Amino acid sequence: MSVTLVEKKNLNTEGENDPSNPATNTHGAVLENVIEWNDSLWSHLKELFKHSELLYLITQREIKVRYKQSVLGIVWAVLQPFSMMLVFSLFFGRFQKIPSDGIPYPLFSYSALLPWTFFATSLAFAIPSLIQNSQLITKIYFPREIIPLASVFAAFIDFLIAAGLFLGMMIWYQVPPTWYLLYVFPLLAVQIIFTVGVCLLLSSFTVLYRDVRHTLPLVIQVWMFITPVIYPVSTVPEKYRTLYMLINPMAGIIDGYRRAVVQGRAPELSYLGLAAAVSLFLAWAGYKYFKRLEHEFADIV
Amino acid sequence: MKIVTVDQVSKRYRLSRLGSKSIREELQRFGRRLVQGARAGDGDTEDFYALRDVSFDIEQGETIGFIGPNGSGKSTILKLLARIIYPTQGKLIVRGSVASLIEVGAGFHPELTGRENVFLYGSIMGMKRAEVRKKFDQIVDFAGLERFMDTPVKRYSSGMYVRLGFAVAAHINPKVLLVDEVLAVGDAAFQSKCQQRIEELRRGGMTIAFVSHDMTAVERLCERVVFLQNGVIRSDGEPQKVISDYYNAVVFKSAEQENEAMTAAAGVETIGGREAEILGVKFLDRDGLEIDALATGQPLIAQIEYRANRPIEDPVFELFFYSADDRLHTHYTTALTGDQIAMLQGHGMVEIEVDEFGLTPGIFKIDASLMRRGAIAPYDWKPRQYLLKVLPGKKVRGMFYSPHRWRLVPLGEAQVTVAATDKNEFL
Repeated sequence: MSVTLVEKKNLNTEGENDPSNPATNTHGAVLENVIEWNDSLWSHLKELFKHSELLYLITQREIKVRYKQSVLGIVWAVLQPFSMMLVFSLFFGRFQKIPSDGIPYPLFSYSALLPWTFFATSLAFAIPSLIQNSQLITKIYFPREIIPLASVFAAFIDFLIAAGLFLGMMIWYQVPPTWYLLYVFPLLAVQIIFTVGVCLLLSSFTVLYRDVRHTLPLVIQVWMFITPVIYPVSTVPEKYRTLYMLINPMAGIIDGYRRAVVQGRAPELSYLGLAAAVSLFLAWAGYKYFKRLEHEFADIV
Repeated sequence: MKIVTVDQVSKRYRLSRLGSKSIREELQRFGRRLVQGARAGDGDTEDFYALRDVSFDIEQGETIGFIGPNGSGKSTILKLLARIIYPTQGKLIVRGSVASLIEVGAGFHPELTGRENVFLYGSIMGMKRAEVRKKFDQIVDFAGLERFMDTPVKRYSSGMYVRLGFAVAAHINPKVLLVDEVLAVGDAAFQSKCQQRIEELRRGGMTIAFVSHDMTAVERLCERVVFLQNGVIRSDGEPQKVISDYYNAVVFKSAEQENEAMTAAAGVETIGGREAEILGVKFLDRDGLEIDALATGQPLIAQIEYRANRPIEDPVFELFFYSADDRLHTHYTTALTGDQIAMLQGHGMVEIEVDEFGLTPGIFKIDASLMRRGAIAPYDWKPRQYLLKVLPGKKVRGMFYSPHRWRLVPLGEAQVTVAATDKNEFL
């Protein structure tokens, strides 16, 4: 199968290849942009970039729609990790006295809950997103990855808002900021790449098998418990730790945040590197898989 | 320049995959495959070809219509051109941007306001935000919804919804515009606005692909028509010819079958018929050859054969033409025109001649009746017993064609030059 999309950048130059029509030959330089539909990731990315405005608008829609007609509105973005933090602090920190590497437990758990909530919300919204937008997919063309990507970006906005509260907590607990805070940026980059990879893979898979949608809440919950959100990484025995980090890149990422932001230390770079490698591979494979299935979305969804 | 090239395109659907499966079913299939050998699992895959080996080109600026019965693949073609779906086989080239008026408003989100949706939908349809901003007032004005732009569209009536959708879609500037029966939206005033807009775009040189069941609209708008049946192109070319093919292959056939079935079920129905009966009705052209179809505006001769078993006084012959949906379209009677018949006996025939037959394309079921003037019960009445097919001929906009002549009337200073073509009716 081959689909060829030939696009001309200059819309006023039709007929310039037609020698039988000299009248149209008077136009100046012609920019002809021929995109062969050859399944290269590069051409997909270019096409995605061309639709970046649409990605922006759909992200905006996601956010607006989520908080329209709700009294608390955007406060919900903060409320979710915050209430979890309160519960965890009370039961695990105060009653159970789970080790927190010497950090106040609320800070310890919120520093992990914040990026975790970003990840979990992304998954919860992005994975069923293609099915929920079937109306759009069966009626109009645009690069389909925009839909799950918009869910991830909308969750990112929530994350930024919830992060504002975290700054307040750092002042309250008098945690001095250090240069290690800058590690947040590579950490975020790795987390976003990993999240996008998972979301692309599973959202397209969900179109084929609706089962994914039903197992999703369970998966997210289990995943949280195998990630050092409630407990420190030191709980996992040393000899299994590399394997643990390989299987669950979120572990290295979450631990990295905690070290950089609260403990004022560099993240364990070997773990971060491992997470980055796994994430890049997953994002690449996820995008490939997504684009392969994309042709069938409108037929199946 | 060819703006669209479709080369041997097929679109196959796997019926068993329509509506996705659960993993359990998939595992079961996989298990069966293991047990029964490699190919066994494919047995339940029933294929359906929505299109098979379809090839055509569309020229820049052409208005092309796609016609065919339901399920013939018309809409599949538009969806392929719109890149919503992908071909299973074959090559499809579209040189330039495409916008579709396929179910306008599909991109609206009910929770967002009209204003927000205009931007979102515009962007989905491929417009830049700056472009939408520039055309925003025009769009709102076209939709006639100034007062409701800050209301969530979920509070819109369905008419308002579609109007806004069409207004946005009608203001994009694609190379190729795909139109799928959306002209039937809103009230009459809005419909004519839509048609005007499409006409405007067409005159502006936009390439338009149009799917419709409304043959009058297709004939009026399109320079070229493609007739599809069962996913295959049956004919492609000049509208009048292709539409005739469509009538012959689809409309007439189904009406004939229906009629045969009805006749078979009911037997030849006849009401009255002992004193005098109608033996048959025949249609002829000018040369006296029997026909079962003619084109609008062509001459028609209809013959009614009768036998009167005893002398019949002051008889009246009548023909009624009913359309497929059983509405009376025209009626001929000897009570009003022609020779008054005083008395009738034995075997004979009456004949009507129509110089230019005025009904528009379709299939007509015909009643013939014979009665005494002013009587209530007919001597004989054959309800819906005869068929006549009318093909596209003289271009008609409206319900029927009526023979006419135009004349130029010089008045004082008026300066009129008559063009010297052989088709010119003024010469």
